[in-house]
Amino acid sequence: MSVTDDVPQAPQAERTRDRRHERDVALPRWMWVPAVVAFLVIALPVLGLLLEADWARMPELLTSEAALAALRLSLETAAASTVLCILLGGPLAAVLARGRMRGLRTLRSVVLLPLVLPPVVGGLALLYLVGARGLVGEALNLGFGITIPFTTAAVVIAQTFVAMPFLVVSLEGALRTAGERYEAVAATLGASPALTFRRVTVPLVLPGLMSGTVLAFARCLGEFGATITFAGNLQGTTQTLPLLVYIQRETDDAGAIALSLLLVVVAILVIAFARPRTTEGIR
Amino acid sequence: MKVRALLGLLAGLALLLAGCGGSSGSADTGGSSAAAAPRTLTVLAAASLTETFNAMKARFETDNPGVTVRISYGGSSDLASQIVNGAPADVFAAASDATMKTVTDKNLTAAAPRIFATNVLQIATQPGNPEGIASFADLAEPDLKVVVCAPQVPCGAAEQKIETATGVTLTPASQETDVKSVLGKVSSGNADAGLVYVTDVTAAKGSVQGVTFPEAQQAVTNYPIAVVKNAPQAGLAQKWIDMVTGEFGQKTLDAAGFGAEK
Amino acid sequence: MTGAALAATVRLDRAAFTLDVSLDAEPGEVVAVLGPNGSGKSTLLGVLSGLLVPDAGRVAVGDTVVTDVDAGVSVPPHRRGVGLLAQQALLFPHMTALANVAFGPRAAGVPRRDAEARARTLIADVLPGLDADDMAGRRPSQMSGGQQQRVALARALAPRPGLLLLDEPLAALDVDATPAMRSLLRRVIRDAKQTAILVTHSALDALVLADRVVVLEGGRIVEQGPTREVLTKPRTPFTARIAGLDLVPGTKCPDGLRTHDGTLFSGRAGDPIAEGDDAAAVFPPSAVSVFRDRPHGSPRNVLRVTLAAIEPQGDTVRLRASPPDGGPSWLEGLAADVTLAAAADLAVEPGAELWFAVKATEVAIHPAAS
Repeated sequence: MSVTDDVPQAPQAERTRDRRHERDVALPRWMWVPAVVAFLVIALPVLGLLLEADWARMPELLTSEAALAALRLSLETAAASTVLCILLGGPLAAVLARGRMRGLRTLRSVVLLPLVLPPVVGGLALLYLVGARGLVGEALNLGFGITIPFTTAAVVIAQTFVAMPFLVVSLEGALRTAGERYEAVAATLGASPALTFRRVTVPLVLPGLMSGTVLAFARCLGEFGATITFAGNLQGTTQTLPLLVYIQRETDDAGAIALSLLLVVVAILVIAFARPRTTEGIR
Repeated sequence: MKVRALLGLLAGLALLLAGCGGSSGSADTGGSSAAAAPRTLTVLAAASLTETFNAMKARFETDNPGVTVRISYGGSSDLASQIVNGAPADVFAAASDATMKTVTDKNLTAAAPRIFATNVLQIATQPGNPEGIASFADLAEPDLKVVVCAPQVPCGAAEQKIETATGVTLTPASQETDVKSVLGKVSSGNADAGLVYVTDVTAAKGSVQGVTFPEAQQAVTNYPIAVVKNAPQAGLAQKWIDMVTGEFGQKTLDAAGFGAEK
Repeated sequence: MTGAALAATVRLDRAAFTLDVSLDAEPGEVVAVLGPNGSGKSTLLGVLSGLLVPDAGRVAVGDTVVTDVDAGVSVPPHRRGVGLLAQQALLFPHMTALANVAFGPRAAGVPRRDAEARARTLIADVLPGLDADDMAGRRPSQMSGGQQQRVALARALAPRPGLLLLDEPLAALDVDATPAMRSLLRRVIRDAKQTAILVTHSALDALVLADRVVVLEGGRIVEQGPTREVLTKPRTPFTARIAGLDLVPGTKCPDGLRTHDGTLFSGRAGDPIAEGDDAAAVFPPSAVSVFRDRPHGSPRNVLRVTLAAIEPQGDTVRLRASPPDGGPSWLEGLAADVTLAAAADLAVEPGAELWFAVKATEVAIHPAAS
C-alpha cells in the first residue's frame, strides 16, 4: 500500500505568489481608465494635503499641547472602543451567524443602522438616550449620580456605537464562510461548545476578526459627528484629533493640515500593521 | 513628472467646474438696469443671520422684479475661505471683523466693509433659571455645567475676552464648535448654562432663558458687510447693502436681538 | 440493549420524507447503508451523531442511552463517543496533522504528551511508507487530498469512539487514491473490529468493508442482510443498480417471472418461492446480448428498448436502456455490457432502437421486496 502516488499540493504561498507567467483574461483594458481615476480620487486629496503643508512649522504644530493631548485621547479612546466592540460585537456576530431563533434578520438590520445613519444622527440619538433628560441618562443620574455627556466615557460610547457594525459585519461574514462543518467535526471528536469555540471557531475566523478590528479601530479614530454632538469638545477629555482638526481650521489652516497629516500617518500605520495579517489568512 | 501632470489634470477639472458655476452669473456683468432680464444676486452670510436675511430676501425680490437672491449661509470662516478660493459671490456678510479681515487682507472686497449690526453674548439658562444665575461670575461656580464656544470660533473668542476683562476663569464642560451646539446642549438639559448670542436666545423662543450681564459689552461682536471684488452683480450687491443698513433692514435686525449699526 | 454496540429506532419528519428506521450493530460490526440521494442516509447519521434531534425514538451506543425522546434524553454530540469521517477531510486548517489527531484525546482530558504520542502512532499507521515526523508537522494545505483523508481517519479514531460514522469517506478522493484508502479503511476499521456505520454509493466499498448492508429508500429500510447476499440477490432496482446488476420486478410464475404488464421472463429460481409472490429477475449486464434487429431462434428473453446512454467502462461499454414509446417502465435503466469492438459494430447513437437478449440460464429469480 503506497500513499506517495498522489502528488502533494504545492504550499499555498507558492501557488498565489508566482503570477509572472499568467495572462490577464478577466480584465478588459478599458477598465484601467476608471480604475486609475478611482485611485486618484483617493490618493490626490492626500497629496494635496502634503503639498499644502507648512513643513517648517510642522514640528511646532504637531507638538503643541492640544495636538499631543488630542492624539493621546484619540488613541486611548479608539483602543478602548475597539476592545468594547470585540467583547460585545464578537458574541453578537456569533449569535447572528449561528443562532437559530426567529427575528435574527430584523436584529441584523438594526445592527447595520449606525453604518447607514449619519454619525450626527447617532450622536443625537445617544444624547437623547444617555443625556440628562434621556431615558437611561436620567436613571443613571438619579441612581448613581453619573452623567455621561462631556466625559471621555461619552467619546468611547459614541465611537463604539459607530464602529460596532464594522466588527460585527466582517466577523459574521467570516463565521458564515467558515461554516459549521468544522465545529460539527470538533463535537464528534468530543469537544464541548466552549472548547470548540476557543480552539476551532476563533482561529478559523481570526483573519475576519483582525480585519474587523482594524476597520473598527480606524472608524473610531475618524469618528467626528457622533462625538461632537454627544460628547462635546474639551481638550484632554473629549477633544479627539478629528475634533481638533475641525476647530483648528477655524483660525489656523496650517495647524489643521498638520493635524490632518498626523491622522493620515496614524491611518497608514494601522493599515500597514494589519494588512499582512488580514489578507494572508490561515488557509 | 507624472504627479505634476496629474495635478495639472485635476486643476483643469476644477477650473472647468468653476467655469460652469460662474457662467450663469457673469452673463450680464455690471448689473445695469435691464430689469426684465432675470438676474441672480449671490449673498454669503453668517449662519446667525439666517432668519433676518431670509426676511430681507423676500422684500428685496418684491422690490426688484426679475431678481433672485441666493443666500448661502455658513460659518463665517468657511465663507471667507470660499471667497479667498474664488467662489463667485456678490455680497459677504460676516459675523466677525477677524473673518472679514481675511478677505480684505487679500484685497477681495470692492470697498471697505461696513458694520451693519452688532451682537453681544448672553447667558442661556434652563427656562425659569433654576440655578439662579445672575452674573458672569456665577458661571465659575464649580457645580455648574457650563458650555461655551471653542476659542477658535468668534463666540468663543468673545467669551475669552470677557474672561480676561473680568478676571473670572470658567472651567467649561465643553467647548463647542459653534454657538448653535452650545444652545442645543442647554436646551436639551445637558448643560446648566451656556454662553450664546442674544440673537440665539431670541431665536430659541423660550426653550432657554437669557440672562443679560454687563460685562458682555466688553466683547461686542461686529457684523461687517461688503461687496465682493469683481462681483457679477455689483449694482444689486450695493442695493442689498443699502437695504440691510436702511430702515427695513435695521428694524428686522433689531427685532431679532441684534444691536444697531455703529 | 445489552451486547449491541448500537441500537437505534428513530423517526424524524422532513419536508421531503420521513426517516423511520431501526438499526442495530454488534460490537466490531460494520454496517453499510445504501440508498439513493434523498433517502435519508445523511439524516440517519445526523441523528446518530446527535447533530440532529429526532421526533421520536431511542438511540443507545453501547450501554449508554444517548437519545430517548420519550424520556427527554438527548446527550449532546460531544459526549456520545460517536466519531465521524465525512467525504471531506475537514482537517482544522490552522493546526498541524499532529494537533488535529491529538485534538480528540486532548478534549477528553488526556495530557498533551500522551495525546501526542497516540497521535504520532496513528499517523504512522495511516501513512505507512512516509516520514511520520515530517507528516505530523505539516498543515493540511501541505498535504494531498488522500493524505488529508488518512489523517482525518486517524483523527476520528484517536478518541476511541464507541461508534464510528463513515459518510461516503471515499467519494471525494481522486480515482488514484481511492483503492489505497479503501484497503486502509478495511485494515483499521474492519480488521481492528471498530464498530462503524458506512454510508456509501459503491457496492465495492460495501463488499470490501461491510459485514452487513441496509438499503434505505424514502426514509425506510427496504432491504437488509449480509453484504454478499444482498448484492448478489438484490430485491430492489436500486440495490441491483448499485450492485451493477439488472433487475426486472414481477411475480413468480411456473417458468420464471411475469412482469406487471404481463411479459413472461424466463429464469431459474434459486430459493423456493411460492407462485404469485413478488419476485425479481436478476442478471448481470455482461449476460445481455445486443442487436440492431430482432434476433430469432434461441430460447431467449428478448426486449425492445431505446438506447438512453453509452457509458465507457474500461475495456467494455455499458449501454443503458430506456423504454421505447409505450414500452413498460421496468426497462428504464437496464444495462448491457458489450466490448468496445461490438459497440463500434453496432454504431448507434442514444435514441436508437435496439434489442436486448438474455438467455434464461443467466437469469436468477429471487424473492423481492414488495
